[in-house]
Amino acid sequence: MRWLFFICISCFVLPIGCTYKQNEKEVVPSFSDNRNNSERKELSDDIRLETYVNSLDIRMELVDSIFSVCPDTIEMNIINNSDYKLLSNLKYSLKHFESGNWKVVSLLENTIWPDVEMFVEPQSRRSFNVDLFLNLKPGRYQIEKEFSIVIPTIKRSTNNIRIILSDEFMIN
Amino acid sequence: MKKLTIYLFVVLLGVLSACNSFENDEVVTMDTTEQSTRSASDFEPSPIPSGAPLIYPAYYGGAYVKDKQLVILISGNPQLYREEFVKRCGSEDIVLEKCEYSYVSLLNQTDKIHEYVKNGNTQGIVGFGIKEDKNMIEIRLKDLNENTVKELQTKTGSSNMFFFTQGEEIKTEQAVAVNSGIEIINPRGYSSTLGYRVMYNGKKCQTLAGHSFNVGDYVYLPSSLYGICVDQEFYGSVDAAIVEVYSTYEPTNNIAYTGMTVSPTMQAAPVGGYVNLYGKTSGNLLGTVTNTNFAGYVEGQFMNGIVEVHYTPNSNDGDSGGLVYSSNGFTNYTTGTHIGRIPNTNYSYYTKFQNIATVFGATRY
Repeated sequence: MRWLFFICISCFVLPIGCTYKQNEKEVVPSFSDNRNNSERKELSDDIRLETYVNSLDIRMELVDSIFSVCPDTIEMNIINNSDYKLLSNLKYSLKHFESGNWKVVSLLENTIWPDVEMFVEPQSRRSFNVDLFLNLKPGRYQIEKEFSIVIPTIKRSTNNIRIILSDEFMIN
Repeated sequence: MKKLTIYLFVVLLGVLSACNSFENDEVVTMDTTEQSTRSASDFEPSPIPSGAPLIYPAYYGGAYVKDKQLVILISGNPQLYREEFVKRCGSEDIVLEKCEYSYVSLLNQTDKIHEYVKNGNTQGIVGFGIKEDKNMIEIRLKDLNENTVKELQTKTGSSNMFFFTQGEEIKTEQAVAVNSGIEIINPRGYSSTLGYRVMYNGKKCQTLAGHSFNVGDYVYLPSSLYGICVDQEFYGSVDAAIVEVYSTYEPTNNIAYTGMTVSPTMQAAPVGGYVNLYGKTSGNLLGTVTNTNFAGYVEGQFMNGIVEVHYTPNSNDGDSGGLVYSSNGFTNYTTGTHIGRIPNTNYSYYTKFQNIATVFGATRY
């Protein structure tokens, strides 16, 4: 009877000991846990940064958005109501609305783009002409252009924060 | 809360009355330069930023120093304004003289001459400005003769405010040396890299990115006008333009910020050979030539005979027109000028310098 009591106590104490050790591991985080925490923090920083960037009043507006034939150039205004300078280049990309989905116009993907730099000063708007050197068929299109936001005080600012601006046009 | 508002209001009133101390200024002695500055600067309303233009009242005709005494010109009766100017200058030791033209009207006339000259009607004018001691505008002509004077008086509105003198153009003592590889800007504000120095039609010029400039475009450094684009090609095997550099600048064979120079000797790079790119954004990049006769579309323009290079990392926005050179460890040789890249790859492209020399008839020096 005394043995039975001893075995019962042992069975009760041993699992508690094991549980205690597991808890100890959680209290002292391992290297991989540190890395996970750091990644989580970076992710949260990225989300905050994205939210901040999206809150800035930076937008693209096409001067004309309905064309009877495919135009040679498209004039766009970049409105930068932020306090940061925007940098870009001549590159743009196009998407065509087909069967309910936006599909990338692949002809632009292997184009060599001249390494010219253009900018939009803070609190200003600037007009750009984009050469449409493709013969686009009638339909609904989206033009996208990437800009770098020069935010010198933001952490990890060696690479500027990038933002893609877009607007739609129709060719009838 | 009410007490606090009253208190703040009283403090604000106190501050405002303390700031408005003009009437309580004591009359003190000061030198003529300070008197003159004060007499003019007091016309500037205080809340306007310092960059705002001075606003001169209609009775003010200018000021100058004569026999160590400040003379203030008044368009009207000087006695009416003496007390005011004593207060403005903070001194009794000033002379007020009657004049014919107000300073504002003189400034308006100089603006008109400026517009006239800016529109290309130089008529031998080498300079002009207000001569305050004469209360007139001096126009300096390179060749002072009766015909030119009459023509100018007619074309600029025959103003009696003008008097004419003979003069020479202002010449700078020394041309400013400009290194290759620095930022250059087109009239649309697009930025790229200044290329090699060349002789073109016997004039000192430099190469530029052809896709960024048109013939007749002004070419700008970040802070000044550098020259004018006199030739351009963005077709076939050449993407380049030529800027004729103003005489105040002297292009060099130095690469900006590196302490290196590039020899005018041309050298082509073979497949597998190394080339360097110096662009205003990327600085110096080292790459391996992967194709010496590449054909493809550059922003919709078909080009052939251009060279493909693998750079790690790749070139960047603003590097267009940059110097592509090859090196044997001792000497850097002229090889080409940078065009652009395929995004999200490591491939960039340049125009062979030999083709630039042939198409434009330009020579490196």
